[in-house]
Amino acid sequence: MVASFILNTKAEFLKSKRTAAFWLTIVGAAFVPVVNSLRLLARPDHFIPVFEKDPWKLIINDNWEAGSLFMLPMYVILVTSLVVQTEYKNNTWKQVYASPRTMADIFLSRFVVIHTLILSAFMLFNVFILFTAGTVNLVYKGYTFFDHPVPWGTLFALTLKLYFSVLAITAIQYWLSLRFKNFIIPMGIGIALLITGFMIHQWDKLYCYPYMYSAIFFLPPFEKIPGFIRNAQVFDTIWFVVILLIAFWDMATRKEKG
Amino acid sequence: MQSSIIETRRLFFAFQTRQRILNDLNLQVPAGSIYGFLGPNGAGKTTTLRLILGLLKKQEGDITLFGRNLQANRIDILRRIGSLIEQPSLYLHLTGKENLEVFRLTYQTNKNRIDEVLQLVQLQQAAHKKVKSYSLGMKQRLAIAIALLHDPEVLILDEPTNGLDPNGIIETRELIKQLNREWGKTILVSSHLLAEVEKMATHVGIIHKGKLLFQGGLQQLQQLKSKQSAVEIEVNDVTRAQQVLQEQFPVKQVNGTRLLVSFESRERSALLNKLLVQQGVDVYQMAVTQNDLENLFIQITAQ
Repeated sequence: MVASFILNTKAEFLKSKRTAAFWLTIVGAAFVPVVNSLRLLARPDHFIPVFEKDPWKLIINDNWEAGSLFMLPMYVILVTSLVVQTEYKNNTWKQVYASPRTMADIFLSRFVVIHTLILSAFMLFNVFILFTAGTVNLVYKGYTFFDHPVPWGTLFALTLKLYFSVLAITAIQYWLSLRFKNFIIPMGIGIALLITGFMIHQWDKLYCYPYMYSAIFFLPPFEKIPGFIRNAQVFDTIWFVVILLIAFWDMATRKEKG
Repeated sequence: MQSSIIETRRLFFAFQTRQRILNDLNLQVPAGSIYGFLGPNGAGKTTTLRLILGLLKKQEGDITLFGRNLQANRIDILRRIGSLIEQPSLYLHLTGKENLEVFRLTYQTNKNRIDEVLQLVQLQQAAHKKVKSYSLGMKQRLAIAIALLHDPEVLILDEPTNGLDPNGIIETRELIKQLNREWGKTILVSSHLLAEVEKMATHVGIIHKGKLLFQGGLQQLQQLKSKQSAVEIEVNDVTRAQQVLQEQFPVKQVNGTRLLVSFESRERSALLNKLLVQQGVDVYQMAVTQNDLENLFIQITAQ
Protein backbone atom coordinates (compact mmCIF):
# COMPACT_ATOMS: atom_id res chain seq x y z
CA MET A 1 0.00 0.00 0.00
CA VAL A 2 2.75 2.47 1.03
CA ALA A 3 5.00 1.31 -1.82
CA SER A 4 2.13 1.77 -4.25
CA PHE A 5 1.48 5.30 -2.91
CA ILE A 6 5.16 6.21 -3.29
CA LEU A 7 5.22 4.92 -6.88
CA ASN A 8 2.02 6.75 -7.76
CA THR A 9 3.37 9.95 -6.22
CA LYS A 10 6.48 9.47 -8.36
CA ALA A 11 4.17 9.16 -11.38
CA GLU A 12 2.43 12.39 -10.35
CA PHE A 13 5.82 14.12 -10.22
CA LEU A 14 6.58 12.88 -13.71
CA LYS A 15 3.30 14.38 -14.92
CA SER A 16 4.33 17.83 -13.63
CA LYS A 17 7.55 17.72 -15.67
CA ARG A 18 7.72 20.60 -18.16
CA THR A 19 4.30 21.94 -17.07
CA ALA A 20 3.43 25.57 -16.37
CA ALA A 21 3.35 24.71 -12.63
CA PHE A 22 6.98 23.63 -12.80
CA TRP A 23 8.17 26.78 -14.59
CA LEU A 24 6.02 29.02 -12.41
CA THR A 25 7.81 27.61 -9.36
CA ILE A 26 11.20 28.63 -10.72
CA VAL A 27 10.25 31.98 -12.26
CA GLY A 28 7.95 32.91 -9.36
CA ALA A 29 10.69 32.20 -6.83
CA ALA A 30 13.20 34.34 -8.73
CA PHE A 31 10.95 37.32 -9.39
CA VAL A 32 11.00 39.19 -6.06
CA PRO A 33 14.71 38.64 -5.23
CA VAL A 34 15.73 39.75 -8.75
CA VAL A 35 13.56 42.90 -8.64
CA ASN A 36 14.82 43.65 -5.14
CA SER A 37 18.45 43.27 -6.21
CA LEU A 38 17.84 45.65 -9.15
CA ARG A 39 16.64 48.19 -6.58
CA LEU A 40 19.89 47.76 -4.66
CA LEU A 41 21.94 48.01 -7.83
CA ALA A 42 20.11 51.11 -9.07
CA ARG A 43 20.49 53.11 -5.85
CA PRO A 44 23.65 52.00 -4.06
CA ASP A 45 24.12 55.49 -2.64
CA HIS A 46 20.85 55.14 -0.76
CA PHE A 47 20.88 51.44 0.13
CA ILE A 48 24.53 50.88 1.20
CA PRO A 49 24.05 52.89 4.42
CA VAL A 50 20.61 51.32 5.02
CA PHE A 51 22.00 47.76 4.72
CA GLU A 52 25.20 48.43 6.61
CA LYS A 53 24.33 47.14 10.07
CA ASP A 54 22.42 43.86 9.65
CA PRO A 55 22.28 43.32 5.88
CA TRP A 56 21.09 39.70 5.76
CA LYS A 57 18.23 40.12 8.18
CA LEU A 58 17.13 43.23 6.33
CA ILE A 59 17.32 41.71 2.84
CA ILE A 60 15.59 38.48 3.95
CA ASN A 61 12.83 40.48 5.59
CA ASP A 62 12.50 42.86 2.64
CA ASN A 63 12.19 40.01 0.16
CA TRP A 64 9.79 37.89 2.18
CA GLU A 65 7.62 40.89 3.01
CA ALA A 66 7.29 41.78 -0.66
CA GLY A 67 6.78 38.13 -1.56
CA SER A 68 4.33 37.01 1.06
CA LEU A 69 1.76 39.80 0.97
CA PHE A 70 0.44 39.08 -2.50
CA MET A 71 2.88 36.93 -4.48
CA LEU A 72 2.90 33.92 -2.16
CA PRO A 73 -0.87 33.35 -1.90
CA MET A 74 -1.15 34.14 -5.61
CA TYR A 75 1.50 31.54 -6.40
CA VAL A 76 -0.27 28.94 -4.24
CA ILE A 77 -3.59 29.65 -6.01
CA LEU A 78 -1.95 29.32 -9.42
CA VAL A 79 0.21 26.27 -8.78
CA THR A 80 -2.64 24.29 -7.18
CA SER A 81 -4.94 25.00 -10.12
CA LEU A 82 -2.22 24.21 -12.66
CA VAL A 83 -1.28 20.84 -11.14
CA VAL A 84 -4.90 19.65 -11.09
CA GLN A 85 -5.55 21.20 -14.50
CA THR A 86 -2.98 18.83 -16.07
CA GLU A 87 -5.59 16.05 -15.82
CA TYR A 88 -8.50 18.13 -17.08
CA LYS A 89 -6.52 19.64 -19.95
CA ASN A 90 -5.34 16.23 -21.17
CA ASN A 91 -8.67 14.51 -20.54
CA THR A 92 -6.85 11.98 -18.35
CA TRP A 93 -8.99 11.86 -15.21
CA LYS A 94 -10.87 8.84 -16.57
CA GLN A 95 -7.63 6.94 -17.08
CA VAL A 96 -6.53 7.83 -13.54
CA TYR A 97 -9.81 6.62 -12.03
CA ALA A 98 -9.83 3.49 -14.20
CA SER A 99 -6.42 2.45 -12.89
CA PRO A 100 -6.08 0.26 -9.78
CA ARG A 101 -5.61 3.07 -7.27
CA THR A 102 -7.50 3.85 -4.09
CA MET A 103 -9.31 7.18 -3.84
CA ALA A 104 -6.97 8.22 -1.01
CA ASP A 105 -3.98 7.48 -3.22
CA ILE A 106 -5.36 9.54 -6.13
CA PHE A 107 -6.28 12.39 -3.78
CA LEU A 108 -3.13 12.54 -1.70
CA SER A 109 -0.41 11.83 -4.28
CA ARG A 110 -1.32 14.96 -6.23
CA PHE A 111 -1.55 17.00 -3.04
CA VAL A 112 1.97 15.84 -2.15
CA VAL A 113 3.18 17.12 -5.55
CA ILE A 114 1.56 20.52 -4.92
CA HIS A 115 3.21 20.80 -1.51
CA THR A 116 6.57 19.69 -2.86
CA LEU A 117 6.37 22.39 -5.53
CA ILE A 118 5.45 24.97 -2.87
CA LEU A 119 8.34 23.86 -0.64
CA SER A 120 10.66 23.99 -3.64
CA ALA A 121 9.48 27.53 -4.35
CA PHE A 122 10.29 28.47 -0.73
CA MET A 123 13.74 26.93 -0.98
CA LEU A 124 14.45 28.52 -4.35
CA PHE A 125 13.22 31.86 -3.05
CA ASN A 126 15.80 31.70 -0.26
CA VAL A 127 18.52 30.58 -2.66
CA PHE A 128 17.69 33.50 -4.95
CA ILE A 129 17.79 35.93 -2.00
CA LEU A 130 21.29 34.74 -1.07
CA PHE A 131 22.48 34.60 -4.66
CA THR A 132 21.17 38.05 -5.68
CA ALA A 133 22.50 39.65 -2.49
CA GLY A 134 25.92 38.10 -3.17
CA THR A 135 25.80 39.35 -6.78
CA VAL A 136 24.91 42.87 -5.63
CA ASN A 137 27.87 42.77 -3.23
CA LEU A 138 30.20 41.67 -6.03
CA VAL A 139 29.10 44.61 -8.18
CA TYR A 140 29.18 47.20 -5.37
CA LYS A 141 31.84 46.47 -2.80
CA GLY A 142 30.24 49.00 -0.44
CA TYR A 143 27.54 46.48 0.56
CA THR A 144 28.52 44.34 3.53
CA PHE A 145 26.77 41.00 2.86
CA PHE A 146 30.09 39.16 2.69
CA ASP A 147 31.16 40.62 6.05
CA HIS A 148 28.21 39.13 7.91
CA PRO A 149 27.18 35.51 8.43
CA VAL A 150 23.87 34.36 6.95
CA PRO A 151 21.32 34.01 9.79
CA TRP A 152 20.27 30.46 8.85
CA GLY A 153 18.11 30.06 11.96
CA THR A 154 16.06 33.18 11.19
CA LEU A 155 15.76 32.19 7.56
CA PHE A 156 14.61 28.67 8.42
CA ALA A 157 12.12 29.83 11.08
CA LEU A 158 10.59 32.43 8.78
CA THR A 159 10.32 29.95 5.90
CA LEU A 160 8.65 27.37 8.09
CA LYS A 161 6.23 29.92 9.53
CA LEU A 162 5.24 31.13 6.08
CA TYR A 163 4.90 27.60 4.72
CA PHE A 164 2.42 26.77 7.47
CA SER A 165 0.58 30.02 6.78
CA VAL A 166 -0.46 28.80 3.30
CA LEU A 167 -1.73 25.36 4.34
CA ALA A 168 -5.36 26.49 4.52
CA ILE A 169 -5.19 28.10 1.07
CA THR A 170 -3.72 24.92 -0.44
CA ALA A 171 -6.61 22.85 0.92
CA ILE A 172 -9.30 25.28 -0.25
CA GLN A 173 -7.74 25.78 -3.68
CA TYR A 174 -7.19 22.03 -4.09
CA TRP A 175 -10.83 21.34 -3.41
CA LEU A 176 -11.94 24.06 -5.84
CA SER A 177 -9.53 22.84 -8.51
CA LEU A 178 -10.81 19.27 -8.21
CA ARG A 179 -14.40 20.49 -8.22
CA PHE A 180 -14.30 22.66 -11.33
CA LYS A 181 -13.11 21.57 -14.74
CA ASN A 182 -12.73 25.16 -15.90
CA PHE A 183 -9.37 26.46 -14.68
CA ILE A 184 -10.68 30.06 -14.46
CA ILE A 185 -13.22 29.25 -11.72
CA PRO A 186 -10.89 28.08 -8.89
CA MET A 187 -8.38 30.76 -9.86
CA GLY A 188 -11.03 33.47 -9.99
CA ILE A 189 -12.49 32.46 -6.64
CA GLY A 190 -8.99 32.35 -5.11
CA ILE A 191 -8.03 35.79 -6.40
CA ALA A 192 -11.38 37.24 -5.33
CA LEU A 193 -10.92 35.84 -1.82
CA LEU A 194 -7.37 37.21 -1.69
CA ILE A 195 -8.49 40.69 -2.76
CA THR A 196 -11.32 40.52 -0.22
CA GLY A 197 -8.65 39.81 2.40
CA PHE A 198 -6.88 43.05 1.58
CA MET A 199 -10.17 44.92 1.71
CA ILE A 200 -10.93 43.65 5.20
CA HIS A 201 -7.36 43.67 6.51
CA GLN A 202 -8.22 45.96 9.40
CA TRP A 203 -10.78 43.52 10.80
CA ASP A 204 -9.85 42.50 14.35
CA LYS A 205 -10.93 38.91 13.62
CA LEU A 206 -8.75 38.60 10.56
CA TYR A 207 -7.22 35.49 12.10
CA CYS A 208 -10.34 33.64 10.87
CA TYR A 209 -9.60 34.53 7.26
CA PRO A 210 -7.36 31.95 5.54
CA TYR A 211 -6.20 34.02 2.58
CA MET A 212 -4.43 36.59 4.83
CA TYR A 213 -2.35 34.28 7.04
CA SER A 214 0.89 34.86 5.14
CA ALA A 215 0.36 38.61 5.15
CA ILE A 216 -0.35 39.07 8.85
CA PHE A 217 3.27 38.38 9.79
CA PHE A 218 4.22 41.57 7.98
CA LEU A 219 1.24 43.76 8.84
CA PRO A 220 2.48 45.66 11.90
CA PRO A 221 -0.74 46.01 13.96
CA PHE A 222 -1.30 42.25 14.27
CA GLU A 223 1.99 41.40 15.92
CA LYS A 224 1.06 43.78 18.75
CA ILE A 225 -2.30 42.11 19.46
CA PRO A 226 -1.69 39.39 22.04
CA GLY A 227 -2.50 35.90 20.78
CA PHE A 228 -3.43 37.10 17.28
CA ILE A 229 -0.74 35.19 15.43
CA ARG A 230 -1.39 32.10 17.54
CA ASN A 231 -5.13 32.30 16.81
CA ALA A 232 -4.34 32.60 13.12
CA GLN A 233 -2.18 29.47 13.28
CA VAL A 234 -4.92 27.52 15.07
CA PHE A 235 -7.55 28.59 12.53
CA ASP A 236 -5.12 27.83 9.70
CA THR A 237 -4.80 24.24 10.95
CA ILE A 238 -8.57 23.89 11.39
CA TRP A 239 -9.27 25.20 7.87
CA PHE A 240 -6.62 22.91 6.44
CA VAL A 241 -7.86 19.72 8.08
CA VAL A 242 -11.60 20.36 7.68
CA ILE A 243 -11.46 21.49 4.03
CA LEU A 244 -9.11 18.66 3.11
CA LEU A 245 -11.53 16.11 4.58
CA ILE A 246 -14.47 17.71 2.79
CA ALA A 247 -12.51 17.75 -0.49
CA PHE A 248 -11.68 14.06 -0.15
CA TRP A 249 -15.26 13.13 0.70
CA ASP A 250 -16.49 15.19 -2.25
CA MET A 251 -14.07 13.49 -4.65
CA ALA A 252 -14.61 9.96 -3.38
CA THR A 253 -18.41 10.15 -3.44
CA ARG A 254 -18.76 11.88 -6.79
CA LYS A 255 -21.21 10.01 -9.00
CA GLU A 256 -19.35 10.73 -12.20
CA LYS A 257 -15.59 10.37 -12.24
CA GLY A 258 -13.36 11.46 -15.11
CA MET B 1 -20.83 -22.90 -23.09
CA GLN B 2 -18.17 -20.25 -22.54
CA SER B 3 -18.25 -18.48 -19.19
CA SER B 4 -18.89 -14.73 -19.10
CA ILE B 5 -15.93 -12.64 -18.06
CA ILE B 6 -17.97 -9.43 -17.94
CA GLU B 7 -21.58 -9.56 -16.93
CA THR B 8 -24.21 -6.97 -16.16
CA ARG B 9 -27.55 -7.94 -14.70
CA ARG B 10 -30.62 -5.72 -14.86
CA LEU B 11 -28.51 -2.60 -15.23
CA PHE B 12 -30.43 0.66 -15.19
CA PHE B 13 -28.92 4.12 -15.33
CA ALA B 14 -30.23 7.66 -15.61
CA PHE B 15 -28.47 11.02 -15.46
CA GLN B 16 -29.90 14.00 -13.60
CA THR B 17 -32.44 14.67 -16.35
CA ARG B 18 -34.06 11.39 -15.19
CA GLN B 19 -34.11 10.18 -18.76
CA ARG B 20 -33.12 6.51 -18.72
CA ILE B 21 -29.83 5.96 -20.49
CA LEU B 22 -29.69 2.23 -19.74
CA ASN B 23 -32.76 0.10 -19.41
CA ASP B 24 -32.48 -3.42 -18.02
CA LEU B 25 -29.13 -4.14 -19.67
CA ASN B 26 -27.93 -7.73 -19.40
CA LEU B 27 -24.55 -7.92 -21.04
CA GLN B 28 -22.58 -11.14 -21.22
CA VAL B 29 -19.07 -11.02 -22.62
CA PRO B 30 -17.66 -14.56 -23.04
CA ALA B 31 -14.06 -15.25 -22.04
CA GLY B 32 -11.67 -15.16 -25.01
CA SER B 33 -14.08 -13.30 -27.27
CA ILE B 34 -13.96 -10.06 -29.20
CA TYR B 35 -17.30 -8.66 -28.16
CA GLY B 36 -18.52 -5.95 -30.53
CA PHE B 37 -20.77 -3.62 -28.60
CA LEU B 38 -22.76 -2.03 -31.34
CA GLY B 39 -25.13 0.90 -31.30
CA PRO B 40 -25.69 4.37 -32.72
CA ASN B 41 -24.31 7.45 -30.98
CA GLY B 42 -26.22 8.11 -27.78
CA ALA B 43 -27.43 4.51 -27.46
CA GLY B 44 -25.70 4.05 -24.09
CA LYS B 45 -22.45 2.32 -25.11
CA THR B 46 -20.05 4.70 -23.36
CA THR B 47 -22.28 4.88 -20.29
CA THR B 48 -22.21 1.07 -20.06
CA LEU B 49 -18.41 0.94 -20.43
CA ARG B 50 -17.96 3.74 -17.88
CA LEU B 51 -20.16 1.81 -15.43
CA ILE B 52 -18.11 -1.34 -16.00
CA LEU B 53 -14.92 0.62 -15.22
CA GLY B 54 -16.42 2.24 -12.13
CA LEU B 55 -16.27 5.72 -13.65
CA LEU B 56 -19.98 6.13 -13.07
CA LYS B 57 -21.71 5.24 -9.85
CA LYS B 58 -24.01 2.30 -10.38
CA GLN B 59 -27.68 3.02 -9.63
CA GLU B 60 -29.50 -0.26 -10.15
CA GLY B 61 -28.41 -3.76 -11.13
CA ASP B 62 -25.22 -5.78 -10.80
CA ILE B 63 -21.88 -5.63 -12.53
CA THR B 64 -19.52 -8.57 -12.22
CA LEU B 65 -16.11 -9.07 -13.79
CA PHE B 66 -14.19 -12.32 -13.51
CA GLY B 67 -17.15 -13.55 -11.48
CA ARG B 68 -16.62 -10.89 -8.80
CA ASN B 69 -18.69 -7.89 -7.86
CA LEU B 70 -17.16 -4.66 -9.20
CA GLN B 71 -17.95 -2.42 -6.26
CA ALA B 72 -16.55 -4.80 -3.67
CA ASN B 73 -13.41 -5.68 -5.65
CA ARG B 74 -12.71 -2.51 -7.64
CA ILE B 75 -8.91 -2.41 -7.27
CA ASP B 76 -8.35 -6.14 -7.92
CA ILE B 77 -10.63 -6.05 -10.96
CA LEU B 78 -9.06 -2.90 -12.43
CA ARG B 79 -5.65 -4.54 -12.10
CA ARG B 80 -6.82 -7.12 -14.66
CA ILE B 81 -8.35 -4.64 -17.12
CA GLY B 82 -6.89 -2.29 -19.69
CA SER B 83 -9.09 0.47 -21.03
CA LEU B 84 -9.46 3.19 -23.60
CA ILE B 85 -12.56 5.30 -23.13
CA GLU B 86 -13.58 7.79 -25.82
CA GLN B 87 -10.63 9.97 -26.87
CA PRO B 88 -7.13 8.80 -25.87
CA SER B 89 -6.15 9.95 -22.37
CA LEU B 90 -2.56 11.08 -22.77
CA TYR B 91 -0.28 13.72 -21.28
CA LEU B 92 0.49 15.79 -24.35
CA HIS B 93 3.49 17.60 -22.80
CA LEU B 94 5.24 14.29 -22.13
CA THR B 95 6.84 11.92 -24.64
CA GLY B 96 5.27 8.60 -25.57
CA LYS B 97 7.74 6.78 -23.35
CA GLU B 98 7.12 9.13 -20.42
CA ASN B 99 3.39 8.54 -20.75
CA LEU B 100 3.99 4.82 -20.51
CA GLU B 101 6.32 5.36 -17.55
CA VAL B 102 3.55 7.23 -15.67
CA PHE B 103 1.27 4.22 -15.95
CA ARG B 104 4.07 1.69 -15.51
CA LEU B 105 4.66 3.13 -12.04
CA THR B 106 0.96 2.75 -11.24
CA TYR B 107 0.78 -0.83 -12.51
CA GLN B 108 4.21 -1.66 -11.09
CA THR B 109 5.32 -3.57 -14.13
CA ASN B 110 8.80 -4.33 -15.35
CA LYS B 111 10.63 -1.54 -17.24
CA ASN B 112 11.13 -3.83 -20.26
CA ARG B 113 7.40 -3.92 -20.73
CA ILE B 114 7.47 -0.34 -22.09
CA ASP B 115 9.60 -1.42 -25.07
CA GLU B 116 7.47 -4.52 -25.57
CA VAL B 117 4.21 -2.60 -25.86
CA LEU B 118 5.83 0.11 -27.99
CA GLN B 119 6.92 -2.61 -30.37
CA LEU B 120 3.49 -4.20 -30.33
CA VAL B 121 1.83 -0.96 -31.43
CA GLN B 122 4.78 -0.04 -33.65
CA LEU B 123 5.65 3.23 -31.97
CA GLN B 124 9.33 2.64 -31.15
CA GLN B 125 10.44 5.38 -33.55
CA ALA B 126 8.20 7.98 -31.96
CA ALA B 127 8.80 6.93 -28.34
CA HIS B 128 10.89 10.01 -27.51
CA LYS B 129 8.69 12.53 -29.28
CA LYS B 130 6.20 14.62 -27.34
CA VAL B 131 2.69 13.24 -27.71
CA LYS B 132 1.33 16.61 -28.82
CA SER B 133 3.16 16.05 -32.12
CA TYR B 134 1.52 12.62 -32.66
CA SER B 135 -1.21 12.04 -35.23
CA LEU B 136 -4.58 10.81 -33.97
CA GLY B 137 -3.73 7.29 -35.11
CA MET B 138 -0.45 7.34 -33.16
CA LYS B 139 -2.23 8.67 -30.07
CA GLN B 140 -4.78 5.89 -30.37
CA ARG B 141 -2.01 3.29 -30.62
CA LEU B 142 -0.19 4.77 -27.65
CA ALA B 143 -3.43 4.66 -25.66
CA ILE B 144 -3.77 0.97 -26.57
CA ALA B 145 -0.14 0.45 -25.50
CA ILE B 146 -1.00 1.98 -22.11
CA ALA B 147 -4.02 -0.30 -21.85
CA LEU B 148 -1.74 -3.28 -22.57
CA LEU B 149 1.09 -2.23 -20.26
CA HIS B 150 0.17 -4.52 -17.37
CA ASP B 151 -0.74 -7.41 -19.66
CA PRO B 152 -4.43 -7.38 -18.68
CA GLU B 153 -6.77 -10.27 -19.35
CA VAL B 154 -9.50 -7.96 -20.58
CA LEU B 155 -9.38 -4.90 -22.82
CA ILE B 156 -12.24 -2.41 -22.88
CA LEU B 157 -12.03 -0.16 -25.92
CA ASP B 158 -14.59 2.54 -26.60
CA GLU B 159 -14.79 3.36 -30.31
CA PRO B 160 -11.04 2.86 -30.87
CA THR B 161 -11.29 3.57 -34.59
CA ASN B 162 -13.19 6.83 -34.19
CA GLY B 163 -11.66 9.64 -36.23
CA LEU B 164 -8.99 7.44 -37.79
CA ASP B 165 -8.21 7.39 -41.50
CA PRO B 166 -8.83 4.10 -43.42
CA ASN B 167 -5.26 2.95 -42.80
CA GLY B 168 -5.52 3.67 -39.10
CA ILE B 169 -8.83 1.79 -38.95
CA ILE B 170 -7.29 -1.28 -40.59
CA GLU B 171 -4.21 -1.16 -38.33
CA THR B 172 -6.29 -0.86 -35.17
CA ARG B 173 -8.63 -3.63 -36.29
CA GLU B 174 -5.73 -5.95 -37.07
CA LEU B 175 -4.12 -5.13 -33.72
CA ILE B 176 -7.34 -6.00 -31.88
CA LYS B 177 -7.60 -9.31 -33.75
CA GLN B 178 -3.93 -10.07 -33.09
CA LEU B 179 -4.31 -9.35 -29.38
CA ASN B 180 -7.22 -11.73 -29.21
CA ARG B 181 -5.71 -14.45 -31.38
CA GLU B 182 -2.10 -14.42 -30.22
CA TRP B 183 -2.37 -13.12 -26.67
CA GLY B 184 -5.74 -14.52 -25.72
CA LYS B 185 -7.19 -11.20 -24.59
CA THR B 186 -10.90 -10.85 -24.13
CA ILE B 187 -11.83 -7.60 -25.83
CA LEU B 188 -14.98 -5.57 -25.37
CA VAL B 189 -14.99 -3.05 -28.18
CA SER B 190 -17.73 -0.56 -28.89
CA SER B 191 -18.58 0.87 -32.29
CA HIS B 192 -21.42 2.49 -34.16
CA LEU B 193 -20.44 0.79 -37.42
CA LEU B 194 -21.96 -2.61 -38.17
CA ALA B 195 -19.45 -3.39 -40.93
CA GLU B 196 -16.56 -2.58 -38.60
CA VAL B 197 -17.84 -4.94 -35.89
CA GLU B 198 -18.51 -7.71 -38.40
CA LYS B 199 -14.89 -7.58 -39.51
CA MET B 200 -13.42 -8.29 -36.11
CA ALA B 201 -15.96 -9.48 -33.55
CA THR B 202 -16.70 -13.04 -32.53
CA HIS B 203 -19.71 -11.95 -30.48
CA VAL B 204 -22.03 -9.01 -30.85
CA GLY B 205 -24.33 -7.04 -28.58
CA ILE B 206 -26.62 -4.45 -30.14
CA ILE B 207 -27.81 -1.63 -27.94
CA HIS B 208 -30.43 0.92 -28.88
CA LYS B 209 -31.90 3.56 -26.58
CA GLY B 210 -30.34 1.83 -23.59
CA LYS B 211 -31.82 -1.58 -24.35
CA LEU B 212 -29.90 -4.60 -25.54
CA LEU B 213 -31.75 -5.64 -28.71
CA PHE B 214 -29.54 -8.54 -29.71
CA GLN B 215 -26.76 -10.54 -28.12
CA GLY B 216 -25.02 -13.57 -29.52
CA GLY B 217 -22.33 -14.95 -31.79
CA LEU B 218 -21.45 -13.33 -35.09
CA GLN B 219 -23.04 -16.25 -36.94
CA GLN B 220 -26.35 -15.67 -35.21
CA LEU B 221 -26.22 -12.04 -36.24
CA GLN B 222 -25.47 -12.98 -39.82
CA GLN B 223 -28.35 -15.46 -39.85
CA LEU B 224 -30.62 -12.76 -38.56
CA LYS B 225 -29.36 -10.40 -41.20
CA SER B 226 -29.77 -12.85 -44.05
CA LYS B 227 -33.27 -13.72 -42.83
CA GLN B 228 -34.21 -10.12 -43.37
CA SER B 229 -32.18 -9.59 -46.53
CA ALA B 230 -33.64 -9.10 -49.97
CA VAL B 231 -32.55 -9.57 -53.57
CA GLU B 232 -32.93 -6.59 -55.83
CA ILE B 233 -33.32 -7.40 -59.53
CA GLU B 234 -33.32 -4.95 -62.41
CA VAL B 235 -35.18 -6.27 -65.45
CA ASN B 236 -36.47 -5.07 -68.85
CA ASP B 237 -40.11 -6.08 -68.20
CA VAL B 238 -41.34 -5.81 -64.64
CA THR B 239 -44.87 -7.11 -65.30
CA ARG B 240 -43.62 -10.21 -67.08
CA ALA B 241 -41.02 -10.80 -64.38
CA GLN B 242 -43.71 -10.59 -61.67
CA GLN B 243 -45.79 -13.19 -63.51
CA VAL B 244 -42.80 -15.53 -63.86
CA LEU B 245 -41.81 -15.26 -60.22
CA GLN B 246 -45.31 -15.24 -58.77
CA GLU B 247 -45.43 -18.93 -57.82
CA GLN B 248 -41.97 -19.53 -56.41
CA PHE B 249 -40.66 -16.11 -55.39
CA PRO B 250 -43.27 -13.66 -54.03
CA VAL B 251 -42.32 -10.11 -54.98
CA LYS B 252 -42.12 -7.78 -51.97
CA GLN B 253 -41.82 -4.49 -53.75
CA VAL B 254 -41.68 -2.99 -57.24
CA ASN B 255 -39.70 0.16 -57.86
CA GLY B 256 -39.55 1.24 -61.52
CA THR B 257 -37.62 -1.45 -63.34
CA ARG B 258 -36.51 -3.05 -60.09
CA LEU B 259 -38.11 -5.84 -58.08
CA LEU B 260 -37.44 -6.77 -54.48
CA VAL B 261 -37.63 -10.44 -53.48
CA SER B 262 -36.79 -12.08 -50.14
CA PHE B 263 -33.27 -13.50 -49.99
CA GLU B 264 -33.31 -17.21 -49.14
CA SER B 265 -29.95 -18.61 -50.19
CA ARG B 266 -27.33 -18.25 -52.91
CA GLU B 267 -28.67 -21.33 -54.68
CA ARG B 268 -32.23 -20.01 -54.68
CA SER B 269 -30.98 -16.68 -56.07
CA ALA B 270 -29.30 -18.55 -58.94
CA LEU B 271 -32.54 -20.43 -59.59
CA LEU B 272 -34.48 -17.18 -59.65
CA ASN B 273 -32.09 -15.76 -62.24
CA LYS B 274 -32.32 -18.90 -64.40
CA LEU B 275 -36.12 -18.81 -64.27
CA LEU B 276 -36.30 -15.21 -65.46
CA VAL B 277 -33.82 -15.76 -68.29
CA GLN B 278 -35.57 -18.98 -69.41
CA GLN B 279 -38.85 -17.10 -69.60
CA GLY B 280 -37.33 -14.39 -71.80
CA VAL B 281 -36.89 -11.68 -69.21
CA ASP B 282 -33.58 -9.77 -69.50
CA VAL B 283 -31.82 -9.44 -66.14
CA TYR B 284 -29.61 -6.34 -66.05
CA GLN B 285 -28.55 -6.45 -62.44
CA MET B 286 -29.06 -8.60 -59.36
CA ALA B 287 -27.76 -7.91 -55.87
CA VAL B 288 -28.41 -8.80 -52.24
CA THR B 289 -29.31 -5.60 -50.40
CA GLN B 290 -26.93 -4.94 -47.50
CA ASN B 291 -28.38 -4.34 -44.09
CA ASP B 292 -27.02 -1.30 -42.37
CA LEU B 293 -27.35 -0.77 -38.65
CA GLU B 294 -30.45 1.34 -39.03
CA ASN B 295 -32.27 -1.37 -41.02
CA LEU B 296 -31.13 -4.01 -38.61
CA PHE B 297 -32.61 -2.06 -35.70
CA ILE B 298 -35.90 -1.74 -37.52
CA GLN B 299 -35.93 -5.47 -38.25
CA ILE B 300 -34.99 -6.49 -34.71
CA THR B 301 -37.50 -4.18 -33.08
CA ALA B 302 -40.18 -5.34 -35.50
CA GLN B 303 -39.69 -8.96 -34.42
